[in-house]
Amino acid sequence: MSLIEDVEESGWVLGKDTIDSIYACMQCGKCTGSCPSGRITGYRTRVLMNKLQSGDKSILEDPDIWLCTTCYTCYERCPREVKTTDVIRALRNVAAKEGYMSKAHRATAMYVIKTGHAVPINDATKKLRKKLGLSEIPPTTHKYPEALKAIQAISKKMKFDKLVGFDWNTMNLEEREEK
Amino acid sequence: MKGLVIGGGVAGLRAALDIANAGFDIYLVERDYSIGGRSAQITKSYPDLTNIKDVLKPLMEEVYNHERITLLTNSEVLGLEGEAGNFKVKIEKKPRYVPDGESCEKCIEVCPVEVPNEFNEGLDKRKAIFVPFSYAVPDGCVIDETNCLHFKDGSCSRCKEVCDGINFDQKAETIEIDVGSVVVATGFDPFDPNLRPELAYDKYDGVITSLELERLLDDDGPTGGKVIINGEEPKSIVFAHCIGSRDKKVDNPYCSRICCMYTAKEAYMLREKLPDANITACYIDMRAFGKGCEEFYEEVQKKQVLYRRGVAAEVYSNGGNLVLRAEDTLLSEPYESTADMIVLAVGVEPKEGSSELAENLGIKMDEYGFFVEKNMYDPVETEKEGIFLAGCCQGPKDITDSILQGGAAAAKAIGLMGRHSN
Amino acid sequence: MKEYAYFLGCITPNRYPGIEAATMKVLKNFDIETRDLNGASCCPAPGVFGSFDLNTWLLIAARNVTLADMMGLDVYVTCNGCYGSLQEADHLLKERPDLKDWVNENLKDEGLEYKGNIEVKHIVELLYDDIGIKRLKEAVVAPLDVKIGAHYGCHFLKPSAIRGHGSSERPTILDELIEATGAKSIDYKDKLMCCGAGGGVRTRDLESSLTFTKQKFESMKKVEIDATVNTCAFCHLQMDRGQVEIKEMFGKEFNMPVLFITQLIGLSMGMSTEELGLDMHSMPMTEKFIR
Ligand SMILES: Cc1cc2nc3c(=O)[nH]c(=O)nc-3n(C[C@H](O)[C@H](O)[C@H](O)COP(=O)(O)OP(=O)(O)OC[C@H]3O[C@@H](n4cnc5c(N)ncnc54)[C@H](O)[C@@H]3O)c2cc1C
Ligand code: SF4
Ligand code: SF4
Ligand code: SF4
Ligand code: SF4
Repeated sequence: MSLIEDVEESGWVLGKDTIDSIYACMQCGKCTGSCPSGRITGYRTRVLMNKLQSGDKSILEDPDIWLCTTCYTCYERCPREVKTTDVIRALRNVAAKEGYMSKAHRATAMYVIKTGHAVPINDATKKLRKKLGLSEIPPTTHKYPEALKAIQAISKKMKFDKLVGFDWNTMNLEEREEK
Repeated sequence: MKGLVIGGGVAGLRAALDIANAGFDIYLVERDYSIGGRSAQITKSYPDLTNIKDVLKPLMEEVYNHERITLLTNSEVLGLEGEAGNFKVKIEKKPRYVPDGESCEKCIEVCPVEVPNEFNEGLDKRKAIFVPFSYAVPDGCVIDETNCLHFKDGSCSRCKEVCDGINFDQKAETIEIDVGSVVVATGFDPFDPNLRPELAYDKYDGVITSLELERLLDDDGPTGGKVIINGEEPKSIVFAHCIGSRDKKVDNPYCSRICCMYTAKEAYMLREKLPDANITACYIDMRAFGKGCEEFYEEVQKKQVLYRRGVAAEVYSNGGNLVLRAEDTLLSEPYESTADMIVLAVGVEPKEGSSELAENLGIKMDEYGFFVEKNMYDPVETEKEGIFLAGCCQGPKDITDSILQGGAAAAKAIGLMGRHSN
Repeated sequence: MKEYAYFLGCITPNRYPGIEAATMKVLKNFDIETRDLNGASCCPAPGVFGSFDLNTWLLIAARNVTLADMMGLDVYVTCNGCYGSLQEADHLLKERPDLKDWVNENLKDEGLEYKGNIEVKHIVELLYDDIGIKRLKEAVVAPLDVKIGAHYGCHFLKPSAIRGHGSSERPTILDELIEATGAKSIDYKDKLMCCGAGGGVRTRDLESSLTFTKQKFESMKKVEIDATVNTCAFCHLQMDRGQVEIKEMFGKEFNMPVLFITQLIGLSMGMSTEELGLDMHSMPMTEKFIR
């Protein structure tokens, strides 16, 4: 499958038209010029659009594609209405499938599978909550085990557990070589 | 049989003269106080730096003095009925309150009202009684009744005290004329850069439009031809191409065709005035397709105008200095460029009031508001027989192309009226 | 009396419960009741989980929206990330019947069904639309004589075509809320710049992420601001705890108090620094914010 077909498939939720909007890119550079990340890092939004147009699969292993904060500034301003930020999200889905997910990102994902929250509660916060007159445990998956089960069921069904390399026996990440 | 031309810019002037010279009487209806159109706001033309006034002024005077042309300024078309060869057109003719040619200008001195001067794109002020511009036709003063205190609340008549010719009792009149053909040549408006707020046009005085720069470059302009921003000559200038053109976000996906070249011309003229300034142009693609245009572009580059690929992204102020952010797309490097003056090459948009006019005439507009030609092989005809198009009202074009289309529309009108006269 | 479900997300309840307390107290004062959204999870973060697997992202987000849908209550959030996920998911499901069917097929096992009868709202909308500037002003008992640098964050306004709060280039809604408390909102260069936390950048590359934040603070420092006020728990974390991290990483200190908008409003209504949880922040409050 071509790169763009992969991105279309992974990004079906956002719509094929959204992904195919990259073909309208005229390489004006409004996106890169507006990008707060590009001012700090080596990430170049416009170049990414160019490589997507030409189907250059090397971008999947380019760590720079993970430096977009999804601030949507480029998306708002693009004169050709390329859905840049959404395309980047879908492209990262393909990269993740190819195994280019960082350990730190896998850990964040692991917490959601394990607790229902990317940033779970801790003892310190429990104390603060109490002091403020709030329930010590918030009424979320933290309090409702059956709700957590539902999140875990979704993870399994979507093979999200496999994607991030979650080991149900150890309830932790399995060892994986970082690409 | 008589003809009608609506709009007295270069396209309409050309059409009116050509039809009149073929022996037909012509009405020329102009909404503004003077004929001349946008070209009168421009000093020199690309690619050969012709002085526009040298060409435009004689054209305007020829029209004014032509025995077959009836000029109705400050007038508008209210409606049209009938068919080719036999149109009945209703026109509202608004008063000027001052006889043509009256221009001792004492009235201007005494008038207490000051408003932004439209001709100079608001860079200076004018009075409620004023001369539209130095070579306006008809010449002499006019009163702008929306700002005049006499018409607001009767509290003033100072101008009349110094000038007997002034007559506040003049009334607008509606006249009906019979014409065989109509040429529509109502021109364009520049894009409003506030629709791209990230360029901060409304925030900083140093961010100006290309049309404002034309006024600053004009020896007859508000600064006598000096380029002055915040009281000083700018030392670094950035031109930003494609503002409000090639931009779906502001519903103008089309290329405005003139801004690459007028920017090159403005950069050239600026270089002549400011030999030591840094001049940069941010562009996407260079469209220098007209006769002599690519060569002129090279001339401009040789004048050390730096062309950097990549559109202007955003503008902010760094405590005094303006900073423009963009990507140099050839280097794949985002950069920040400090500037004292940023010139936005604003695109061409349909003239305000186009939809009312289209309705009054029964002609079609495209999705942007330009009038639609019959097809690509009949580029001056409309689907309505007897109504023709010329100039920027049909789509962006430069002076030469506008004049060309004016001549073509005239030929069609002459042919049609000739057929109907026999 | 108006009733809303409150979607808490992660950062608000699990790191900055002061935001939760302040928000509910302020709303209650204006007769807006908050109901727990029992069993809600991570939203999950639109730029993070949306980048890993859009299917999982949509299903979990849709589940959260559906919990409120089944209660028959509009749901509000105190985090732009939560807003991004829930509002976008709700928008997609309302626009695309195929997605709605797919989601319902997959939520069936838990006995959930998305019908799309509710709206996802940001706390700023409740403050601005339900309560309104006029009533907020009337409720001020302790006007704040402070200068504030507003931080809108990204996902409250953008993508503007989906969010529907007008142009994202010159927003005024947060500035108006800030000024309703008697404070002055001061313009600064990078006012609309991203805090740097989103899209998984904070997790993956803390240094780059904090460089965004550092730039924002540098541009705030240039115009003498007493504190920065935000609309997003995640931005709040990035800007509050981030200052400690910036100090460790770059040796730069800003000592800028960071407040969530309802914390600022709470102060103006006479609530104490403690009951709003402001004493729990990494960056201590200065004199002007201690009540
Ligand atoms: C900054 C700038 C620089 C430029 N530089 C150059 C250059 O160097 N060389 C070049 O070739 N071109 C240049 N142009 C382009 C040039 O201005 C146009 O090509 C030209 O003005 C088009 O002529 P027109 O007659 O079609 O329209 P206009 O000049 O717009 O004239 C239209 C006339 O119709 C009148 N009108 C409008 N509506 C009505 C109505 N409803 N009823 C009656 N009258 C009406 C208007 O008042 C106006 O007088 C430049 C343009 C800009 C913005
Ligand atoms: S702003 Fe849009 S058209 Fe321009 S380079 Fe970026 S994606 Fe392409
Ligand atoms: S959304 Fe990403 S690519 Fe676009 S401007 Fe923001 S950080 Fe840059
Ligand atoms: S009557 Fe009107 S035009 Fe004459 S001086 Fe007074 S304000 Fe000016
Ligand atoms: S003529 Fe040049 S500046 Fe104008 S819209 Fe076209 S490409 Fe852009």
